[in-house]
Amino acid sequence: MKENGRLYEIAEANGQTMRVKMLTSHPVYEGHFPGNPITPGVMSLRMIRECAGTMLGKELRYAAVKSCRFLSLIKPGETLDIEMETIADEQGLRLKAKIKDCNDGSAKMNLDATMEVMQ
Amino acid sequence: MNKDEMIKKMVSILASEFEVEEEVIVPEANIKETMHLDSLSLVDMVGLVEEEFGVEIKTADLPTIKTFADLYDYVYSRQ
Amino acid sequence: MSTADNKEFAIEELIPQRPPIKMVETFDYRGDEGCHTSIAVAADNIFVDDGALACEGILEHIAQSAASYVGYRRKMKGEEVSLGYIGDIKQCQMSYPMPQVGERVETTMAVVSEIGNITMIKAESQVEGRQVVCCTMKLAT
Repeated sequence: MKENGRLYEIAEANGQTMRVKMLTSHPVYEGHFPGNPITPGVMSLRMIRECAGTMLGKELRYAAVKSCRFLSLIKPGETLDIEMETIADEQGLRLKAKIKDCNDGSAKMNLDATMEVMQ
Repeated sequence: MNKDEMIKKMVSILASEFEVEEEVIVPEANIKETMHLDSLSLVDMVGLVEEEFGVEIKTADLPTIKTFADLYDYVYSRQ
Repeated sequence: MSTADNKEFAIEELIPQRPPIKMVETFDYRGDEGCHTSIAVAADNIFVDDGALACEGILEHIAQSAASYVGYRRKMKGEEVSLGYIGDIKQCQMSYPMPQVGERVETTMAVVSEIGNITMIKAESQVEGRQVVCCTMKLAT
């Protein structure tokens, strides 16, 4: 899980919820954006994929994203709760995830995707 | 399609897409508040109306479409 | 539209992203229809895993293609480019394998609608004529 320890670290894992701390020294922040570090939305997508994989004990990749909504910015230094639900459906492994602010529970990102297990 | 048929179809499609009960979609209700639309889902609504009814809601006209009644009148007059 | 009507801007003038996450290398404006962009997969790209560009890297390339388009339109009007954020991604399909280091990702992006500060696009990214990612995306600028 490449970004575990680089983009974020897992502070707590309880069943289908993980609490993560966004780390502050990832090289991406030099360019996104200079003087104004904001976690790129696609990196949150990566983080969810890795956390779901950690939860299931497998390495996952995205087969399809039905809907991914970014509701508010994620920044380095924040602590977030990632709630995940996985269901096997006719398309494969369906993953529904929400990233919430750990303080007020406000939603930062909602995801509905289909995953594949990497061989 | 007559206006009643158009309204029935629109209520059904909007309720399904935006996950609200059909009962709350009443003519005098405010569209954004009733369906909890933000700037992203507003784009989806405009796209859906265009796709299902063939009517393009022009950006300049959007501020005038506040209630469902406004939307029905706008779309019906342009079908 | 003839190429003489298009001003040429460096990508850095169109979007605020900088290395190591500058993900558009070539930008070809196609008017109201959209644009064509590309990027070669470099070994040190932050999205490269085991010699291949992860799908998140292609989504970032698509997002920056949309941002380049919006930025180009603003520059043409003499306006400033602003920070852009992905609002949503939908109807996204991945087709593996993802592009390898050394291959070039070519993306065709079309504008679906522009309402207020939201630009909705649909994009298809290919490698050697094979589609790897397609999606719709909304960019907030």
